[in-house]
Amino acid sequence: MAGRILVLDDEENYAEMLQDLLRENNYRVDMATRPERAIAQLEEIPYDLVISDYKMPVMDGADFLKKARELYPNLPFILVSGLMNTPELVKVANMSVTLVMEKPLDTGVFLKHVARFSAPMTEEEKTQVVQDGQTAAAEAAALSYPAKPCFFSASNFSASRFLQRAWSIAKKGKELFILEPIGGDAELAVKDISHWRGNGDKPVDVISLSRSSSSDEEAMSQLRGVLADFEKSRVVCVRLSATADIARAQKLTKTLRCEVEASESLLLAYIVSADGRSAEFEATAGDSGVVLPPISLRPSDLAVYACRTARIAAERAGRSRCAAFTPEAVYALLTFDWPRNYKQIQEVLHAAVSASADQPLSLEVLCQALGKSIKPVVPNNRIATWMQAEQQRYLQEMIEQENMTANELAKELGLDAAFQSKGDFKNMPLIRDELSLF
Amino acid sequence: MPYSVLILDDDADFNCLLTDIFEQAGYIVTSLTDPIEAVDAFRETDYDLVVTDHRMPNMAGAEFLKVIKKIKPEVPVIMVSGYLENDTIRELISGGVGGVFLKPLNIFSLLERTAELIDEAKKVENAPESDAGDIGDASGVDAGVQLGFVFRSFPCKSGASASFAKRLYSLRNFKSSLSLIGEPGMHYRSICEDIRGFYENEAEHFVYLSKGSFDQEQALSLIKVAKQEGAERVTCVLLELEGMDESQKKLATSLAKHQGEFEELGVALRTVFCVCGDLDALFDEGLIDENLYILMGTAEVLVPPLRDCDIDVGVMAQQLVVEVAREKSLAAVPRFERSARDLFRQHKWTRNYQELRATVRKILEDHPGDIITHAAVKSALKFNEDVSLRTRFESHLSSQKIDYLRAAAILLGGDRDQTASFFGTDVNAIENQM
Amino acid sequence: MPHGCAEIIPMQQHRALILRSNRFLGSALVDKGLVTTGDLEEANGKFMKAIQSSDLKRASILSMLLFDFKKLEEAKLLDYLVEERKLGLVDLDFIELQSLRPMNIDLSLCWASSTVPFDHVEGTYLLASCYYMSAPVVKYWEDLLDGRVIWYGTTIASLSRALERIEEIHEAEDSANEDE
Repeated sequence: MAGRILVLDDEENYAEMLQDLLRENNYRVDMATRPERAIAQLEEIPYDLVISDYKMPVMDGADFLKKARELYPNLPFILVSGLMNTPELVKVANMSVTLVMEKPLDTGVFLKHVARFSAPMTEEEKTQVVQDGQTAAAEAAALSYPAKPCFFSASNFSASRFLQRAWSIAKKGKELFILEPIGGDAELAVKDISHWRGNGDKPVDVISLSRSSSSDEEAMSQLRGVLADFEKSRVVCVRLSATADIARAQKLTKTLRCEVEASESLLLAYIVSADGRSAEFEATAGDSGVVLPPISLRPSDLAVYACRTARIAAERAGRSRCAAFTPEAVYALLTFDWPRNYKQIQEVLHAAVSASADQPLSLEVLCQALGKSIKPVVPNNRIATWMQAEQQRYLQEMIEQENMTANELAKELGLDAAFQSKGDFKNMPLIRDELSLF
Repeated sequence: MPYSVLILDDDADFNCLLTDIFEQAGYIVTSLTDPIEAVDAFRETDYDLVVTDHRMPNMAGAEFLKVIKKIKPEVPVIMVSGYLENDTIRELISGGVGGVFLKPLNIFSLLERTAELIDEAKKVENAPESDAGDIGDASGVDAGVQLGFVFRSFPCKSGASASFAKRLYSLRNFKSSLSLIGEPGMHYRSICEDIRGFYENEAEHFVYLSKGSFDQEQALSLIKVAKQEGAERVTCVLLELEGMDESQKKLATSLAKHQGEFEELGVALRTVFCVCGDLDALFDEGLIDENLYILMGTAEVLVPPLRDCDIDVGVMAQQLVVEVAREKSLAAVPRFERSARDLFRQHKWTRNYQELRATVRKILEDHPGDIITHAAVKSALKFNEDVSLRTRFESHLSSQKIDYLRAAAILLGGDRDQTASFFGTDVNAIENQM
Repeated sequence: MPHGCAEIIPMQQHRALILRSNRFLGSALVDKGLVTTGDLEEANGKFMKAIQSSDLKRASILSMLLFDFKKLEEAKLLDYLVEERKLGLVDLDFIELQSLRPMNIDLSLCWASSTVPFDHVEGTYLLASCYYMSAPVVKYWEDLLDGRVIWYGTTIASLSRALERIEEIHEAEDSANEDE
């Protein structure tokens, strides 16, 4: 599978030029213009290769290299710079930079080197991405967000619907309300939204609006601070402790809009982390609200995050084999219900990698990290087990949402057997046999 | 009857100006700045008129004229430009341009010429031998005939809606009551607004009363207010009649018969009943009593369901898009791909206008962008249909099944073989599903 | 037994049919331009009074339009039926009428729908009606008689006389039965 390349150069034009060059050659590339931001990206996403400039403000290439190595000891690093003098060259040589190339670049040579470290997308993947980018552009013209998200994973339909909706609110509005389950990945979505709103890779600040009454002023001044800093994104995340705070939040937005200069570019993304029913949230946030489904309902996104995290953890621990999973471990990952969502995935996988030998993560290691034992199931029954569970869950949800009794629901669905209580759904066979077969 | 105009000018400011001019004159405007895009749009969508500039970077106006005349020669084209050489003007004339206007624009002349050109074009369409593609419907009636009066609730390009409009117009001077009988989701209010538009007299007032607002006090006070405002005749429109309670229905009868409190109000009083459902069926079900049955049966006008007016549906959908675009202050009015609009026209619309409106809004919400694609419409329409719990349930499960498949594949590094054995099946089966 | 009494109670069962058939007739007449909406409105008012006073025999929108309000000429209506609907006409005064009982038909239905079967040939019924233009009437009778029906138009007067004659036939039958 194709890896990703990170390009860092404080001169935006140059970074873009490199990015374009690499993309033309079928690489997946992300760009950063500030070392700190590149570090932030490195923390979230496992890259195969980093290409960086040497002379940069704040942190020069050497410092960046050091920090990046802390995260990824084996990360291939190509330094691209203007003429370096001997002492500088020596310095970086001692930091095990993988390669130094001097500007102006000989593109042919450059690309040859890149190829050593990162696999370009295969035709299949490219058509996937192009298709994905074309079903994503057809979807994205249908799905309508500007590009595939870098941070948030929107592979599952409910997630992409969430992202669409969030984007449609965010792209023209000043405020966005997100209800996420505890430990959710809403912040990742906000990061992507910040990107799409033209803030490039500027970091998105996260502040909290706590329950105490004095905190409104506190929040205001924090926000003012963030907004005055041009190095920060104009999209700011504000964590609310409960749906009840939404009204306060709305007031905050209003005040801020009046005060702040150039408030059109401002977006306040309010996040409420709570489990349970969303009716109150939807009523309060109205058209500016969107609900993020729990990760257990988004299997493919769960998979993406698990892979990413395992890779990062494995690289850091120097146990590269831990970036893979045994089939039993895969089953456990997708069966577990992840009550604390994305955050829990990160915790568990880091713990699992730490506890594991340098080999694909096994069921035992995973279960220990999960704190729960998950009975393995033979391959033939795996999909059936999942579908059964999903069917039951969905029916329960329907009963609650549509306010029906089990019996009424059974009738409405045209089911034969008599259903007295929710419990009866457990034993109900799959509504269509094909669901457990291929 | 709103006509649609395509405006092409690479100068954004001027483009805006032209757009405003035409929109305010009641046209539905699509404005573009790129000639190539405009050719595509012209091909995909039916416009009643095209307005273009001459000086454009990729394609001169004269060339654009040639291209579009090859596609749909019957659509009139007006050229607007800063300066044109005589030779160019000659070229344009021989190319079939309908009007040439040099800047500074005389807006009045421009709009006048526009109306003339559209009129002429419509007349040609309606000539018996003409075969103008979209016009005409199953009943073979000459649709798109000039009605002779303004009617907005239906574009009246279909035979069914044109007959309906004409019937209403012929009954407009009804003395005591009129019944509009239709299917669920009909836009009765707009239809009544059209009836009101039949009168030039300012002293005609319409008062709207629905299930939630109809009681003696309200009705009387609204009538009194109208009278104070100078009404000589007040028409009370009763909406959702079949849903009203017994006392309201009795009140409706008294109102229609000018009995009780409604006698001698000092102003001519009429009633319009708007019901969803067949009169006989409503009577059988006990939803209307004998009095109402006979009263309403007297002057009954059946509102055509949307599926009988398929040509209209296309136009109505575009009108709704314009409405939403205005509300959201969008930079450009989204337009339908031709195949997307065809889907609209073929759809059953069991809840008629209400369903149409909700669907258009949903599509624009879920798929913002300048072009409304076939796929977008298809998924929205499918969503409407799949409203049954059972279908939603099954489709959710199917799509989750595929997602689980993808998830396993991702976790197994994208290896199809491993994924297949993970599920105890073979690679082909996996490929088929994904 | 006085005429009126015997028929009132049975006619109530046809109330819905009376309402419906008259509404459709009124509609049809307006539709074909034989009367105006205003005329119909007026006649309806009186019609509703008749219905609600249980004077069901009098509850005929056609009678009202023809005689009470004189908004329609019977001749014109019959012309229309012959020209446009190709309906044959029959003068029931010249027909030998029979008892309806063998056909199992209720006389009150005839009064309610201004229609009477006056002959019966090889499983096909010949019907004379004043309400041919009212679709519910046509449908009701065709459903009742299994569709084997040929329709004729007639005047109201001729129909009323015919129904009265049939009443007499029935009374004679009843007397004959009592005697036995």
